[in-house]
Amino acid sequence: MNRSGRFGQRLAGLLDLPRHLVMNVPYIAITGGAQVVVENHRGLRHCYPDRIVVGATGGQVTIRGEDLVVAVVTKDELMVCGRIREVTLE
Amino acid sequence: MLTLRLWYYVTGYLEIRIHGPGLEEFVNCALARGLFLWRVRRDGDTLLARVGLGAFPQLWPLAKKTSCRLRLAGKYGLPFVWRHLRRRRLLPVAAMGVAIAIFVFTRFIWLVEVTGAKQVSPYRVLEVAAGLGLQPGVPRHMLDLKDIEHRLVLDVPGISWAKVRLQGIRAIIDIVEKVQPPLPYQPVGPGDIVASRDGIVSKLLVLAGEPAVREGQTVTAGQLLIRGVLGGHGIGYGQARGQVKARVWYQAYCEVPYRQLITNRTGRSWVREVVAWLDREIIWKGREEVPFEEYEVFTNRRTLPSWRNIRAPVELITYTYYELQWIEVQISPEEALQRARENAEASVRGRLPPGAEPGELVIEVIAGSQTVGVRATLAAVEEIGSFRPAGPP
Repeated sequence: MNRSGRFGQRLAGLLDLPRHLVMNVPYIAITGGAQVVVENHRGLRHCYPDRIVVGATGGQVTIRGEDLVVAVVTKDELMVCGRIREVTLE
Repeated sequence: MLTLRLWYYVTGYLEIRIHGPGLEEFVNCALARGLFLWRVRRDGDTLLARVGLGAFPQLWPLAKKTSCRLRLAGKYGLPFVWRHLRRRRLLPVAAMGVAIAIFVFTRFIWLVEVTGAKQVSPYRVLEVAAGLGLQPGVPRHMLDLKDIEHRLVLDVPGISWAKVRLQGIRAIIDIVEKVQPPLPYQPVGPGDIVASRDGIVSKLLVLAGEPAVREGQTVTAGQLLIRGVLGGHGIGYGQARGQVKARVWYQAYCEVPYRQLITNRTGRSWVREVVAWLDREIIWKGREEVPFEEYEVFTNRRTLPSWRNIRAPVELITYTYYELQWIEVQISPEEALQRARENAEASVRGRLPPGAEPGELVIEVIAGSQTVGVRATLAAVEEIGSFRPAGPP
């Protein structure tokens, strides 16, 4: 982690701020087995019905399942719908 | 999200098919430009995505940059629906025509119904209503409901109240029928009044005919009380009318033994559980015969909670069989007398016909070595006259 990252982490801890806003790391919300929302993503890497890979700061988020669809994608937010089995942050 | 989709439906959106080596790169470039994509999915070697109508021209340079080719896969939203409708000019006209037809036809009454008619014929009510203008095919605004209601009550015999309700294309005539008081029994033809039971005549009122008995006289059942003659001197045979009240007696006897056999639970019980489905019962537990000779059954029904008037058609019924045994008990003479007296009195009072005026009650006790008996005698004043039509001459 670089210097600004460490500063952001300290600031977020001190002021009790949401870390994904301060540190620019992905924020992943999973709703049951049907929906995954990734905020602060770094673009779509791969898109297949059984696997969707989303870029993130310092790695990637892999979503595995069946009939996967990128329901919505904007610059900041990416929502995946389908029968989700596994979400991996690498 | 819904608002956004609704907005894109109103402004129109396209489904595009992206071919080429850098499909994901194309999507990322579009995002970097601030474009909004949705329903991005893989279809073979291509990627399908949806974009707003305004964003589509901006995608061409991106496609060129990422060596992709774009194909239009579908057009959706109101602008395309509108364009489709503009091409089919007759469709909106037909839709408008149907709407106008529905509007016009609902201005008329097409069904007339009658509710509340039990004695009165509903066809008669409909007939009169049709005569007053309330019939299928009549415009709603031409109906004077108050006048029709008023005239219905006057014109249809047997109606005391009428109300006409208009529900869409239906006219419902609610009626309330007149309640006729029951007619007193009027025997027809000549005949006499005879005694229906034994007694002593206490009151004699002759309205027509000639009295055959006098007050204070003892009469027996079937005896002539008022003779049906006309003119008072046997000029002709007519219909006797009058009131004959007599003092009559009713008796009841009840015997109670001092030693009585009563049933008592032994403490043993046996349970059978049954699942009731509609009218059928399926034995869940306790399929064999009831193991007691003498028993009484206690039934407990458990149903699912009902909601409004909806009830589950299944219930669990538990039959608990309690074994009984006969035991002999000794009761005191006073208690036996009391029971016998109560039973005899209740029995004799229950035999009085309606309208009879009960008089004094005489209790006679007959005590034996094993039992005590009570005879209750109740005097009453009641109407004993009954009409007997005259036989053929």
